[in-house]
Amino acid sequence: MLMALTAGVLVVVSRSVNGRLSLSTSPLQASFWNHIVGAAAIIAIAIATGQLIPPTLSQAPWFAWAGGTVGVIFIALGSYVVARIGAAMTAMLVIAGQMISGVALDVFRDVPGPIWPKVVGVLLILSGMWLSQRRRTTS
Amino acid sequence: MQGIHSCPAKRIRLRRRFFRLCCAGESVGLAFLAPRLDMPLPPAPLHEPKTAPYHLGDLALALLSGVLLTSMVSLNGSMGHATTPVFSSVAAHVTGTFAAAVALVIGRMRRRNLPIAITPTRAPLWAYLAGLSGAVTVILTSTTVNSPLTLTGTLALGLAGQAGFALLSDRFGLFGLARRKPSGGELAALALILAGSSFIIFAGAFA
Repeated sequence: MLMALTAGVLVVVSRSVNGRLSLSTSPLQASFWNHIVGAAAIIAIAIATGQLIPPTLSQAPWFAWAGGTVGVIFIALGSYVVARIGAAMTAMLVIAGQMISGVALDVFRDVPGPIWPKVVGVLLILSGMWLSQRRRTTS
Repeated sequence: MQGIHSCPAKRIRLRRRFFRLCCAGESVGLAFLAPRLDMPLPPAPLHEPKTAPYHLGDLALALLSGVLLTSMVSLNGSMGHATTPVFSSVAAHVTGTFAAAVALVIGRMRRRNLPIAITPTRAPLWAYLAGLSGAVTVILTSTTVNSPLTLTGTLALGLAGQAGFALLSDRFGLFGLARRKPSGGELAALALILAGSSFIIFAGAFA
């Protein structure tokens, strides 16, 4: 349980640290450093646990290789935004975007299960988003 | 309930189309964003109490990055499904390093005179180490997903950890970012978003 909480904490840590780096360099450079340092760390872990080249690799569909590139944009945007609107506001909007698009993806893919809790959830999130930006924004 | 599911062939076609759309959007997005994201941020109000209003564009970008997160998790998930979670992270980080390098080079070719960082300070060494925390996150989550917590518990606790620590981090201006005090409305918004997320995460429990 503590591990799952720590994972959440670390998401904020890495976003804020990247945000600090992009103050002195740029969000895209922060994303680059994040990926190269992360690659070194995770390759070390993969070698230690013997999963560097998994035998089932050829079964992976081609688009599975595209996730890293999406991640570059994700990290760059996160570093840009966190330095400008703060960690809490960023975390809440990223969560909102993730949840709403996740529900849209579920609907698109016909994932089984009751739909109403998801609709209630999306409505709650939308009202939270409306509340968060009320009176505090300029365009 | 089974009547609403389309036939498998159609679902696979839809899935393919979705991923192709993701990849196309990604290339366009990277080409468009590379020059714009490779410049120092405007002078941030470091350690200044937060009173200025937000720009709607910034909020929209934060929301967009949440949408990107869904497609990233989904793509990396297909890699993790075919191999192992740790290898999917290796693949994502290695391809990401190349993609970022290419984007940096292309961005610089298109825009010769790079603006120099307005913040006079150089980045501290620890600011380069965010990737480590990302690597540890992969290990933690791939452990908890296979524990009694399952994916649902991992997601829910992860959100709680994010929200709590983000508030703490803003309150004390951790990691060299601006100190901010959340307004009552923002706290209420956070509560609503977390409540809504719980509904979505635990949707299966309502069956």
